[in-house]
Amino acid sequence: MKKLLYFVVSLLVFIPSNSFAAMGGGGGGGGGIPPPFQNNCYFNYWLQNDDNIFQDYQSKEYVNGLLRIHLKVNGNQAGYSNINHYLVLYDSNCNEYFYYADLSLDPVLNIPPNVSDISLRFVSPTHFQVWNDSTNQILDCLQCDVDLVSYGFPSGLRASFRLQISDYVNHMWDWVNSEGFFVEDPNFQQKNPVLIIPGTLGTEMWKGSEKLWPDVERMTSLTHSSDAFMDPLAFKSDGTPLDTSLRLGEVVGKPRPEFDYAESFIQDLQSLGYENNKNLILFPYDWRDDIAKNANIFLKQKIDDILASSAFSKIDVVAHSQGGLLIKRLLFDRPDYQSKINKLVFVGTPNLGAPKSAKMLLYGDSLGIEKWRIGLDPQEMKKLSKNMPAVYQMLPSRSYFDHNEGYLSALVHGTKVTYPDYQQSIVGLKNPLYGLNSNLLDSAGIFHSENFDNMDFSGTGIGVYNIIGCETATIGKVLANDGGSELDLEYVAGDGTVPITSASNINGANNFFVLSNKDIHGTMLTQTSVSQKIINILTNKTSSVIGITSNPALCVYKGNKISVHSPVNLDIYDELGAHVGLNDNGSFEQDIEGVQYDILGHEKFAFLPSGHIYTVKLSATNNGTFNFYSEKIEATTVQSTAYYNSVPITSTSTAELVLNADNNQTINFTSDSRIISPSAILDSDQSQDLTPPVSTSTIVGLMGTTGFYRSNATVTLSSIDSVIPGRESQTSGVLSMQYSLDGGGFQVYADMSPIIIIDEGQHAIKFYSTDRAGNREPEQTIEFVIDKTPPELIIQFSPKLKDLEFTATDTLPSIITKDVLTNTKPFKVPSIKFKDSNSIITATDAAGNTIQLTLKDKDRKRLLKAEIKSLSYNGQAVEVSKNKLNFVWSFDKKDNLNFLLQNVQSKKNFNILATYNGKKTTLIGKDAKEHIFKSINGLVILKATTNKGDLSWSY
Amino acid sequence: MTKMQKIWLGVFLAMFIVPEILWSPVGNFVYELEQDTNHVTALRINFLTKSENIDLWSWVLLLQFFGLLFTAIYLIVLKKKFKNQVVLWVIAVSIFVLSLYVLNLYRLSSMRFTL
Repeated sequence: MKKLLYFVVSLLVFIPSNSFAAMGGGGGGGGGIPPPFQNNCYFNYWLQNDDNIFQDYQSKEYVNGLLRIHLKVNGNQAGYSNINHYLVLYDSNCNEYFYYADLSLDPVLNIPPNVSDISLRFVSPTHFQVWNDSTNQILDCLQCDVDLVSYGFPSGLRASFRLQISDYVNHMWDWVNSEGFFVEDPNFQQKNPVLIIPGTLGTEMWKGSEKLWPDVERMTSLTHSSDAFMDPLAFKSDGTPLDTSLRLGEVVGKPRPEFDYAESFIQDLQSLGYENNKNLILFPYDWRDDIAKNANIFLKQKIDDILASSAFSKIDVVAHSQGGLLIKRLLFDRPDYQSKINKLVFVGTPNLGAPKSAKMLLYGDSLGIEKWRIGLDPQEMKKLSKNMPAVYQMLPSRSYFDHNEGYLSALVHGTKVTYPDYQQSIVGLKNPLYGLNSNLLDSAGIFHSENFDNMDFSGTGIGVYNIIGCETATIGKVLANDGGSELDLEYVAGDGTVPITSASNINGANNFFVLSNKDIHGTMLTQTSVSQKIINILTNKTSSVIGITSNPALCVYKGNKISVHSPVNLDIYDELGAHVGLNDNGSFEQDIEGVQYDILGHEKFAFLPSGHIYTVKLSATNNGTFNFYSEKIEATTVQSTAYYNSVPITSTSTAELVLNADNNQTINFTSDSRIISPSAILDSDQSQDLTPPVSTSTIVGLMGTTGFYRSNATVTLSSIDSVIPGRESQTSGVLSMQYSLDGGGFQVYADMSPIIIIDEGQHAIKFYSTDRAGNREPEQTIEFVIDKTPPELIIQFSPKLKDLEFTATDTLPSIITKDVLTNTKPFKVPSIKFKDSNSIITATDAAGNTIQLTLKDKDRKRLLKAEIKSLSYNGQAVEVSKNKLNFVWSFDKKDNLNFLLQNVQSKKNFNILATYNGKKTTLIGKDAKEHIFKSINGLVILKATTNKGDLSWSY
Repeated sequence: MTKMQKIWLGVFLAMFIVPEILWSPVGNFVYELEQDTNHVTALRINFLTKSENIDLWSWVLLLQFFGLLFTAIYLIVLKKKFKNQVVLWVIAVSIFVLSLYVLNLYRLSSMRFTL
């Protein structure tokens, strides 16, 4: 105890006496009254005063950091001819500078008889005025508003003041002097007016007395059914407001306990002495409208108004999100306004745009105002944003592609492709399927010129500071889905809305990174660390703030991105049992801090920041298969990917997996004890593989005409994973090939096990391959027909032709009754082609199968007879020695048929001989049932038919 | 009631009451919800009412919900220990209804505005 006492006493003894004086400094700035400057600089030979007209110097104060000296007049000025005033100024070396009123000007200082309190007020370090304190108005005299610079005085001086009344005729005078004080409060923390520009959705919108935004109560009430009350917020397709009667409200403060947009930040500023509408000004604006219009008209006017009503020539600006684009636009379009900004603090500004805008336009977004499926409908926001210029202007710009691969994927001819540049992305978004506004897409491109996006603040004289979120999973890529494929989202580091690469793209700025993995974008201003950092910037404090760093290397963006691709629900639990995902009743729960969860259609995506042990539970919603991905991400790079391909499930399947550090976890089915290992584990390079493999098919068989085979067909499939030149290491390799035969289910194609098709008829094989990164090529289809059966000939005598007539039958029309894939009418089977060279008759079907009948005589039409010599199918002769096929005929002089002999015999000796004599036909022979002997009046034509190498007949 | 039953009932009640005495999570939330203004203020400003602690606020509300829910259930389980059944049921049902209200507050508090 004694030691402590000695210590305190010794401290008091050794503190220099002038330290106490220094400790007492300050006035209006809140730090006490600063001392007069040293005596050797002091204008001390004018201290005498007879108190007749002037009382002693009264007091001094600092207002906004500038000196005010108050003096008192007794009022007895009778008989005096002149009142003037002196200002004595000193520089740091005690050199004196005098200003005194010009006596030639009358009145030099007009103090009305009833005025007793006057003051000298500095309105800038080099500009003073003389005021009537009673009325708080400047005195009406020519020398009462003086710009010292115009008199050649330097700035940074100290001052004392003398007010003197004199009568040179009667040699009377009186005066009062102040002590010398610093013109500028040395303890004053300069408080330029601060202008706060909010971001998107940061200003209230009203329709009459009805609040349209943000009416969180209506959006989230249990009786909530529709968000249509916000419909008047929509814009027309020409980019103008649908309802022009809407009016702006205040900048959103804290409308709800759970949503503090700007309130606590404003309160923090107020606690430092900032006063609303004096030196703390908020800028409400129509966040839906064109950013350039808001900037160049309304923001410009606001700044003009602030400066017009302020003693300051510059303001400080704090701009959140879209607000940053507004002030940047103004300073870009009007460089003359750069001199009006002292400090400019960007907070989460999408300088190069944000892919979340694309998601908003394509899918909508609930903006987090949703719990258990009660809340803001994403489709309402999609509808509202469709024609809002500002939303389009926050799409990623051309310069975004200088720092990122791309933000938009789409299915091009069934293949997922990331648009590699700005122009292709815009063309992709103009797909009529998405229904976006093409004009606004174009004008957004004009808004984000390269010069604007990369504006350099270095030479502007503005102190530029940029506060950036860097640890939160932020949408970095969106798949524009036109149906049929897996949806996809990719995350990058950011603040939950704006990627770090976009927010940090301000040249000439001091960057500060927020070390938080929460989705902080919407409440960035009111995060304690951010608020404190902004205040430090505004008040010139350099002390560090916990949670804020200027070193981007300290940002930790680390975790797992997982996704499941239908038909499975995804639930995530941490080690404490906190849950993110759908509840049993279908509602959504988000209880793990930092976990980002998105649902697009039936696909579910989540980013799980490191720091927890996550258990992922999967529960099937239907029969089928699902794909699962787990990407391990560190410092924005995918370190490894575990891919689970086509895991079969039933509608009651449940499974879970615990994410491992090495990312090779198994999916353990709790419903049927299956354990599924990853189909592939990819390294960092392979994880970048975005290109699907390419499959080819080969059919081996006896080919007829194109698309027809006259034998069994053997189909071989092969696939190679596409390699992009220069990115060979990013090829993951083929994982599997799947095929489906004739509309059946898909099955795995095994190498070395080609598909052998024996059955005649039409066939179709669909196939595709998938690489180890899960890229799946679009399905390919090959169709072909197997027809192994040649046609058969029908031989008849034709009295009309006076010759034999050949026709044919083919099995093809009977085996193709319907299309195997579409189950509709079959294609039209081509007709059989004939070739009749008198002695050789050939019939060829669509598949190329042929039957050829050769007659013994080469000129049957002249000889009037025909007899079979040989018969062959597809070039293979068949034995016909036991067969007979004879025709002999003749005509009378009138060219009427007067004789016809028709003789057919099968290999089994069934035969028939039909003889016509001009009147009747005699039939003799036998068939399988009986002997035949008939005589029939008139001509009977036999119909002889080839039949698999034999002959048959009918009549 | 046995001593153990009294302890359990006390624990469940404390799950609601202790946070309420310390930080008024329910009181603050209701008080702020009832304000139809752009500048809601807390009844009792404390660390829970800070913007970045809304997650914690939610968790405390959930804890209070379970405290009330378990209290109501436990009262009904122990109904035979009470002489006045009418009063018991009025209290139990009231606490149950209050728990549902707190559950709704939890729902509202756990929304995260991602503008």
